[in-house]
Amino acid sequence: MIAYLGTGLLGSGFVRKLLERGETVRVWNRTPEKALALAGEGAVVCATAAEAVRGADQIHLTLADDASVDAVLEPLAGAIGGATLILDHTTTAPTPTGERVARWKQRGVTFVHTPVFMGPAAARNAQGFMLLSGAPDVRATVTPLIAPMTGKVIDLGDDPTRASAFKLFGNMMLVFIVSGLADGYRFAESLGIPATQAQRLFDDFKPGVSIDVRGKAMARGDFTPQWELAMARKDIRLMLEEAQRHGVSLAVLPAIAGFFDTYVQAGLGGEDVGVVARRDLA
Amino acid sequence: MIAYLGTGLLGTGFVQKLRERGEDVHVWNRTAAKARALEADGATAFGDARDAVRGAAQIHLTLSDDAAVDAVLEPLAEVISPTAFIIDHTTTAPTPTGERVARWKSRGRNFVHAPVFMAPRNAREASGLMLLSGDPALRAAVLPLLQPMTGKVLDLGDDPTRGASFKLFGNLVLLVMTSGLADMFALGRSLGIDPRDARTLFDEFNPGGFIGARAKSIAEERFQPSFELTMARKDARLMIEEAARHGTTLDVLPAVAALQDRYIAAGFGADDSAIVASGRA
Repeated sequence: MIAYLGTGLLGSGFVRKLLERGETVRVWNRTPEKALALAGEGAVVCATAAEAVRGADQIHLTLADDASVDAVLEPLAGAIGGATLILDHTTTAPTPTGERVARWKQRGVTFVHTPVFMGPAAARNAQGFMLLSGAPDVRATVTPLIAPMTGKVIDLGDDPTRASAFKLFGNMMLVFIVSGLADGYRFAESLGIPATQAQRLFDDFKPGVSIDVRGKAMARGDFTPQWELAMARKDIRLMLEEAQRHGVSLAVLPAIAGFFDTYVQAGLGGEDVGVVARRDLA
Repeated sequence: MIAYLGTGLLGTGFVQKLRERGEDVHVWNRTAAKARALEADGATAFGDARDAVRGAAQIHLTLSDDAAVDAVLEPLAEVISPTAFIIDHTTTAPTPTGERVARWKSRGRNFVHAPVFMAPRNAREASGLMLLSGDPALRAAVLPLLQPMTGKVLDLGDDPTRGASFKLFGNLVLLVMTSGLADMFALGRSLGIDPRDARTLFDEFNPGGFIGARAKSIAEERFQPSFELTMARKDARLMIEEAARHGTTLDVLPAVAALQDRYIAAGFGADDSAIVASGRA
């Protein structure tokens, strides 16, 4: 039997898929309505997390953060036996995740962190990516259990905090992308170009390619100029000046201007803009 | 004969390609050595832009900004033939670009702005994307001249400032992503993860692949929550806190978090995290 704690957008999708596969699933959610919504699909709705996990072989979690994972799990320590696997899909931070893995290990319980790059639809349809890291025997046990829940399990090795780090890396890029679009659309609108028109640029121009190409060069410390930092900084000035002409202020670009200035002032204006990945300036 | 003014990284690539196609190219650069270096490719270098453009049928420019374009071109007004095409590939700002187009038109000269999404290698290989906007007759006349220089000419219509606007829009998105990579690598380093290791994530999961679809759903105002804003804000907090545990400050993420906070304060926390691009708060 599987216990599922935290049936928000993602958890609900996972539970529906588990039920479709014929699993017996007990669900609990802090806000009971979200758990109750799954009763119609065959989930056993529990009023308390303790009731949900009693006798479970696997306990899955999709909660909000480190504090909520500990708030829900810690009181259950006495009720969870050594034969139970705890699989946490919550996006949590590396350091507290490492402490959590160690704490449960000390209690003789296997706790593994497997965060996901999956939206609700991906959880419902077993698509997307699930990250996994931790002790080799734990990974070997867990892999066949999680493989049917996702499109691909990405094995990140022995360090149990690695999955949380990589999950944060991916989300970092996702929030930067929407922030870039936020400033980009405000800029375009200031020039009388609605977002519906501006977005057509991406039919031909694929900025995502630079995450791969420039990202690789930045990672290996190759700053051979393709786009000189000084020129990129100049473009930011043009953007900020033009937006200001139309009375529009941008949210993220001013911080990027200040960030780039540090590197220009350090004499790196002739290097590729990727040089801003350097962290060894005096 | 083609005159090329401004032979930095991009201009050099363009000139080399023009030479390969057998064009007669006159080059000028503020730092003369960069122009002279192209004599090896068969270009003729000039110490004075006025001499370079005299008698040219096309004058191409890749300079640094609006001020540089005007500083180089304005003194050349009477030397440039009314039948010549002045084609400026410089990334310039929309408003001064519009003024420049109008100024040259009033002089009876053909000035068109055609900025590019092209790295030096693209210029050398005629790949990548060139933007074009302006007067229909002028666009029709320069299009066959530009096509052999790039992978694709993107026609943006009659408004001569449109090329400048789209070029800056694209660069803005690129620069925010570059900053995201910088903060991502900084977080990774704080955790003892080498950037070369961190970036292997993109071999499996490249968020860049979603930009087009994301841009479209935002433009169409579809904010059905897939990744709720409050959760995205929480993740930003985890990143900032984790980096701080290891004595690392993230440079741009705090500004991203502030943007998210503004939308949460306006009541959009349960919407998709892309709501921050809606312009509603």
